[in-house]
Amino acid sequence: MDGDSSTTDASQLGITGEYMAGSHFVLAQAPEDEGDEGLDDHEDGNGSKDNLREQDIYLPIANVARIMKNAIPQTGKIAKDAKECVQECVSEFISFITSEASERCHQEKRKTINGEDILFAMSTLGFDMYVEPLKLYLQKFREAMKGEKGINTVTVTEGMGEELTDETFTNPLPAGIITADGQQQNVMVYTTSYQQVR
Amino acid sequence: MATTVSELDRSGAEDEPRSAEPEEDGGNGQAGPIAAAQQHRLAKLPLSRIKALMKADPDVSLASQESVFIIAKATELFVEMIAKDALVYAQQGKRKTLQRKDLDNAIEAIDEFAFLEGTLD
Repeated sequence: MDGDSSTTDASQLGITGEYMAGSHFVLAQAPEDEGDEGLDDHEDGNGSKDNLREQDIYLPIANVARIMKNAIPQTGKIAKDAKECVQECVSEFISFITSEASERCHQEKRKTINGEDILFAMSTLGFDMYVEPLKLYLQKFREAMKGEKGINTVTVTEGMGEELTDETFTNPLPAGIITADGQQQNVMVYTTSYQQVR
Repeated sequence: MATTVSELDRSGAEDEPRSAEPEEDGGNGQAGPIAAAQQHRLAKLPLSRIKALMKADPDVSLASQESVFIIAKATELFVEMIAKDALVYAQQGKRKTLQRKDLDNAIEAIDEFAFLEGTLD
């Protein structure tokens, strides 16, 4: 839990109120006008207060540009200001979705934003065309992460039992599956279980 | 550094030492599984940075790995979408180079991008 970024800054509280009530995302706007309300804390010592505004955080432009390039014909080029523009839009997008998801989370009295919250937010905010593809990616992610757990191979392998034959050699799953014929109890000597995931 | 089979073979990506971060961490951007997801090349964007963005929101306390990952993928889709939409305007202007104004046009024209209006003033 990131205690540092909990809202101690009054201006952030104000902003919270704004965008909770507003229909569009005000967050990015306000700080520019309220520069003296402590939102520019980072000038005093970047990271000391850790109250980075959302719009201070961008994803690396190279990554963003690369994804853009995928979407346009090979002969196309992208102007630098266009890349920067998308970079900003991306931060905005993430904040936008996150705040919506966070709202839902609060409504349901949960503290942790989970995948479902995000998907729901997408749908609500007009990006429901993303939901199905995202579900597929989520599936892949979950499968990839199962290996990380290590210890929980019992549950894992049961689900993966059918894939044993196919996947074992082409795409080896958690070690327990590889060596065991489903008898995963014996096998878990592998040190994937650094953490007790969930 | 783990040399276990399970790590290396996931999708051909190399393993990296993980810092024993299960689901959510206290601000440590390099949560193990998240970094691992990055290594597995499931996401093209740095998950740690995305998480930082999410955390910048004062309302957000905790976010699951999954949620960070989904946002990462959604962001990729978003970037592709906006680039493609902007491209239309570039082509209208008989240009091969995507320019800022193309993005502005796309944002104005497309409902889903309404939240971006005003961001780029």
